[in-house]
Amino acid sequence: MSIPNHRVAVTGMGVVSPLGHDVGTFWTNLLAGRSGVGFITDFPTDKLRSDVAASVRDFDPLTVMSAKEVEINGRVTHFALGAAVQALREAGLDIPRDPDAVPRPDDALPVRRDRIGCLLSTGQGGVEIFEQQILKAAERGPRAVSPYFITGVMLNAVSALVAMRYGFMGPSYNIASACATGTHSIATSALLILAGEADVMVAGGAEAATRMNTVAGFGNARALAKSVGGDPTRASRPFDSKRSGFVMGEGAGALVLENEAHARKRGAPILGYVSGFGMTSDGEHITRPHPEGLGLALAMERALARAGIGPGDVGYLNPHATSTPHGDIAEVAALRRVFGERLRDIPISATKSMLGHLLGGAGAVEAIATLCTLRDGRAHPSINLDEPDPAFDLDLVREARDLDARYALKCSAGFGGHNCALVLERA
Amino acid sequence: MAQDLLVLFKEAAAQVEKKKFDHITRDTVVTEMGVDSLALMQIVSELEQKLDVMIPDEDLVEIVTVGDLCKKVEARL
Repeated sequence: MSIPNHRVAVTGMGVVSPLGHDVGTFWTNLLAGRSGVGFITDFPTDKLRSDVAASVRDFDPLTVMSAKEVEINGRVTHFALGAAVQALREAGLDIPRDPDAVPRPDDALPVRRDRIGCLLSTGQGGVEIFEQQILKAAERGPRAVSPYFITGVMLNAVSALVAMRYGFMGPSYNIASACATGTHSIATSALLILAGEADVMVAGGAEAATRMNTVAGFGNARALAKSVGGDPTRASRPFDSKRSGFVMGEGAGALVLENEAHARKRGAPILGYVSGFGMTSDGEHITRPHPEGLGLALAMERALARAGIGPGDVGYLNPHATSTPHGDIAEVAALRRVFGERLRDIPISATKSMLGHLLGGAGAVEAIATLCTLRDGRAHPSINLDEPDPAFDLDLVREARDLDARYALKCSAGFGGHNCALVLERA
Repeated sequence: MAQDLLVLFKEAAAQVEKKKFDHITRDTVVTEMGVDSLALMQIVSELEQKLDVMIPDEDLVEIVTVGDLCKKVEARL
């Protein structure tokens, strides 16, 4: 297998999250150890197995969409478009198309339309639209179902809306792999660029599925944690002895990935690189990870191989770390397989301790946190480590700390046993 | 009533797993039944709905046998 002689650069980033609606605020809050988790207030939680979630607050979708678009498209698209606009603006590509002219492949934005694509993915899509339309049909019959029902719930609506806004004519679609959705989208976007199918890709993930039925579903599968001692911010506690499940979260992360030579030629800012990726499956169980972490370890090894580096070159780890009793165990088993004795010397922080689990958005938003870590030479803390699980023996960052790392590993593992690891590199 | 609950449990398990559990007794160890954790949650949920009770998660933490589970459910009736 020959790997083409160019790298995939990151030329823009954007987030809409429970810790801020721009990368600067988001990153500052992570470094300060602030939690975005609060009590769920949109619906009663007395019959649910969790009473907490990390929610996006005070984000006005009218800043990026019309009133009608806000209504017919799911909450997940509001966040995704908000993040995409920021990323494209940073990359110098936030030039919406003229709505009165049909997009043509050779229009230059400054980049040709047919060389830019979008893989901004969601795992569950417009769930609230699905619920609302089912209720409507039950009350008033099928004639009352909206003509926008299907387009509102289809997962690819997110990528479609981004492509439509800017007139992108390169590859666009949606990848769904549950909690690995965002990471897979970044990896596949890099793969498309390396394969020459696009020069620029808007890559990332988004989710907005904190509905009563979804919380009930995850809760009844015993996947969720509750507030601890009346404090919602203590519920998400990856690697802690008293971890009991993850915390539902919502939000979006978008990155502009670009062929490095292409980026340098047009003078785009280079914020970092996606230098490697590895994608594997566990083939084991629909929710439980492989007990020995074999699938995830293989994904990490493939990512390192593609980046042309070894485990000794990795200076920071941002793992999936959802705070579930079994998930954290399996992940540490995978990390031990890859890094061996050296594992205890590599700084690790679990972004989900503050952000909760953004599901389809997690991989992308956490990749952005990892790129900020490499850029600033500073790692954010993992909070709620009152009593780190003694079985683990890890270098967990408990207060924001300086580090000097050229390469970091970001990995995700989704329900269904879908693993994806990224090697991210400092600019 | 004690026997009824074992019958109800076997029926709920059969409904969830789409196969018979005639050989189950009160002494059967739950983790040796051949059902995974998600299926067990669904079986408990079926019993809750059938009997109109709620079995808190804390009740399920220490159960080892089917009999342990039946006792916990009976206590909530």
